[in-house]
Amino acid sequence: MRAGPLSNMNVINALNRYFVPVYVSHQDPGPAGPVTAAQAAEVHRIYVDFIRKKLGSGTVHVYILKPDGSSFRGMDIGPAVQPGKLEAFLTGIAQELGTTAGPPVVKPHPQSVPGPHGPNDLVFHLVARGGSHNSWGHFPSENWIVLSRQEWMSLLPRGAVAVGASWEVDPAVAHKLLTRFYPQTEEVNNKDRNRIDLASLRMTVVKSANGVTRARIEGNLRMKHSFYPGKDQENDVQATLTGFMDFEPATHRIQRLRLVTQKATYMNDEFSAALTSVSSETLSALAQ
Amino acid sequence: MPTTQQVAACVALTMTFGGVLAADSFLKDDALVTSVEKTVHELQPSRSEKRFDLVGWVPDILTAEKLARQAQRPVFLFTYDGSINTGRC
Repeated sequence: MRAGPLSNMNVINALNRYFVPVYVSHQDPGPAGPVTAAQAAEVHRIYVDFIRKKLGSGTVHVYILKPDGSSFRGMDIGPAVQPGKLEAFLTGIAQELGTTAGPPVVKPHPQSVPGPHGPNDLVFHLVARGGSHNSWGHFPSENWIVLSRQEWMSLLPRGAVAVGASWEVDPAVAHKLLTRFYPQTEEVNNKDRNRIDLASLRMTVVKSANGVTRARIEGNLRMKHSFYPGKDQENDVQATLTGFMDFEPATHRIQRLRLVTQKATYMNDEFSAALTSVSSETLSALAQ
Repeated sequence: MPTTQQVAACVALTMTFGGVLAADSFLKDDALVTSVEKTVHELQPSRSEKRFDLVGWVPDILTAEKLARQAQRPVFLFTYDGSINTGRC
């Protein structure tokens, strides 16, 4: 849906001009956080009411409610992703209900945002792109990873370091940073279903001046990640990684950290991924 | 329909991932940094891949129903599994 009709400007314009659009995942928290019991109950009520009124229903489905909240029309995912079908469906409903066009009821804003985090946490953004051009590869996948102060402090050396000094990142932290390094696969929730066989990140100081130090990062990842959840598959992720971290040893402040794949494969197909620390300015902007 | 400014704001937020935490001094970019930052930039979602963000999505179903009554508009509810907003679905 996202790669098809929900990226079509005619559909986007129809949703913004005539509808109150909302999406709800059955199992995963959205940008607004976990679905509350009251929200889940209402979605279930709609689902049951559509069945009772023989309007069609499904897990992956479009439901249209009248302005008074009553069940009206539905569209299954199959026809919804066919070119032109959803647009015609939406404009037909707007005409049938005599809906007056207007501006979006909510100002459009970024939908991929970090989960809960505190002022002392360090937030990372991960983008991963599969190399194949099948339906899974129409747009990249994203993850947000939050390290507590204790976790991100472990990225730093324990004492003063000079150029050439080297240290290994705490395996638990390396695991947390690397466990989403795989391309787009089927996901029904954000549960980590991976088995990591190797996740290593080594820092080596390459430069230091004016109270700032730069460490080169070299990493290796070997992990099993089943393409489909619940399937007993052991699909291989293999990756070598490179990056850098600029930090201030005296204040224990990480200025920026970047980590990208050098060569990475999943099920023998190449993929790419990039992990970036997110600035406090960007976090503030995303929170508005 | 989203304004040009709103589209620009979405794109700008994507671009600012390249920013750094507030600090007084920085190291000059070298070949390693330039190469890595180039890869980071190339992998970020493009403007066309972020069209999903151009919809004025309401955060939850109960708020949507309330706004529908106020605005006299139908609710478009899409249900699915996973995280469509991050592409992990």
